[in-house]
Amino acid sequence: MAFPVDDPERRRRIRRTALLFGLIAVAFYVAFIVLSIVRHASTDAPTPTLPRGTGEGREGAS
Amino acid sequence: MVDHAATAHDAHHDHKPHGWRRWVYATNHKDIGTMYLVFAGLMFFVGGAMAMVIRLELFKPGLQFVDPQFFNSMTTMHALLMIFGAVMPAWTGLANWQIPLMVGAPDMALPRLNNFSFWILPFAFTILLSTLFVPGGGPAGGWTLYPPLSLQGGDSFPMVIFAIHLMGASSILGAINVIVTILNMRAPGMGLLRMPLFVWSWLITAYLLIAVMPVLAGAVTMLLTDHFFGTTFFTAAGGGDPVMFQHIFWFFGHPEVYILILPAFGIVSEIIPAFSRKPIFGYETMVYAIASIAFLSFIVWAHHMFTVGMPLAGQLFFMLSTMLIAVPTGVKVFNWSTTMWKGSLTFEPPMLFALAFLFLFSIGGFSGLMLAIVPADFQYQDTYFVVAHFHYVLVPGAIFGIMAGVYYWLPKWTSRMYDQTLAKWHFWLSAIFVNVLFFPQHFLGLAGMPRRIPDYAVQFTDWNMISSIGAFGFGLSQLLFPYIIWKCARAGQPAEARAWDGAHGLEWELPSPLPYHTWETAPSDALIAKGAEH
Repeated sequence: MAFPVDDPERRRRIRRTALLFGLIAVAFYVAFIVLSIVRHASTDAPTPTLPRGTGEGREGAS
Repeated sequence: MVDHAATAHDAHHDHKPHGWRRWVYATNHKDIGTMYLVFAGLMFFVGGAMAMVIRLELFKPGLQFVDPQFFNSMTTMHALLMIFGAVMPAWTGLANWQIPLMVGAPDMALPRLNNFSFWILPFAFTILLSTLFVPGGGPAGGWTLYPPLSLQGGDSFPMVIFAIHLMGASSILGAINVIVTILNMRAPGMGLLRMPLFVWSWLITAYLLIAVMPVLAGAVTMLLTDHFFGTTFFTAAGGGDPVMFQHIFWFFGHPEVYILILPAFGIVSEIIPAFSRKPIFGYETMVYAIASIAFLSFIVWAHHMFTVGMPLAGQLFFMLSTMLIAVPTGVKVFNWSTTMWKGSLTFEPPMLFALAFLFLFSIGGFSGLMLAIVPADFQYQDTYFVVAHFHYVLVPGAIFGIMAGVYYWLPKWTSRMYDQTLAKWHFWLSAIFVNVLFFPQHFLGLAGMPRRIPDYAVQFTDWNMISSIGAFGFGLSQLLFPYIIWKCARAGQPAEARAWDGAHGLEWELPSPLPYHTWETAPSDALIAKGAEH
């Protein structure tokens, strides 16, 4: 019996499954960045006007 | 004529490429599995050498050998190398070798992707290791890369981020390959609930990988943009929140712990029945227990960060959900113990490592329960107690699991039997020294010694000395492992096709030496049924 991997339908299924899980991985990557942006946008923190590392502009961050 | 043609056909199919092309262009699952395992072994010794530097410095109080910055680089790099360079590639190597053999498939479903997944790794770790030589030294903020500390890294920072992206890509592609292989390439008749537990454990691990490695990639991408492109995801000065990084990191980090340990559950579930000469007790409950542990791993992440401050309801939720993991884990320990009950036990090296796994991983599990208790965690947080806990989970847990697997399947891979006396020496030295190394760290942590420091108060000296002696003993005894494998491959006695008389599974139905290509003709249902006697 030839192994079913030679079967075109099996090949299509392999490609579909691989793409599906690849897309799921990309979705998780994008989703967590988007969630962070949304959360960041929802905080009413002041925009820093001084170069970072000066220690100023942190008062309203929390 | 027909026979001759068939033989010629088989001979053509068993042709294997020679020289460097065999490895660089490898698409054979056995070759790629071997490359993963060799790479993992190499990283294990490089990461182990870093651990020796750490323990050497901590042998007595005061600064002896390295400056604090380099010490912190060593702790950070040791963790990154051991997690992403040693344990994860070793599991992928075992998956590559074993999954096609165990499910009756001729190869992994996506062989070229398999090659690509592997060859990403040497580049990733070359980049990571080369950070030790750039201005400012290697990353020193801990493997968790918490901002704002990690954002203050020198030239190594973007290199580490790039290396982590590459490792993540490799893991995700490897996981996709495993899932696709298991879902589409099983031999006819190999139903899901006929699959060996190692295959089940890897299927669930692969789902975890797909879900959480992109989260780590997202977190480090945001670190990168915070550092170079003016975003302030985690920078308080711009309204960002460093604690959010911890949430995102541990949403990856806790399932990662299970990524490192679940395949060991699978291997131990193969070995204990083989050396007890009994079917595994409660096969289906083992599957459900692994799946439950994997599910629970997604809802416990904040137990790593109780001390950052969170509402009482959050503390209670994460404490109780963490404790809930003890239930399916207890089911597994119960099933392994019950499998051995009234079995005809023998104690060859794979069984010894599996039993050590059972006892010592349980110690790590119990200290994990202690850490789950919020008020107690406030005391233990960032002390050596935590170091002791996760090393009990990862060394006699994951590493012993890998060693058990290698000792179990090595006679199949090489068609030769290794020196079992030497392997038993390896086991006993490892089992003794791993306890000398890590058990005293519980006392140090309970007495208040913080982790990630190169110097400590003088009252911690004695246990640190004992722990360092354990480390040197453990490190030296690991040199036996590659020697045993090398000796076996070169001059081991021929092994039978079924190297262990109690072993079941399709891989043991194949002849020894293993043909370069296996299961080109799918195994019969009778053979699958015989292999699936669990």
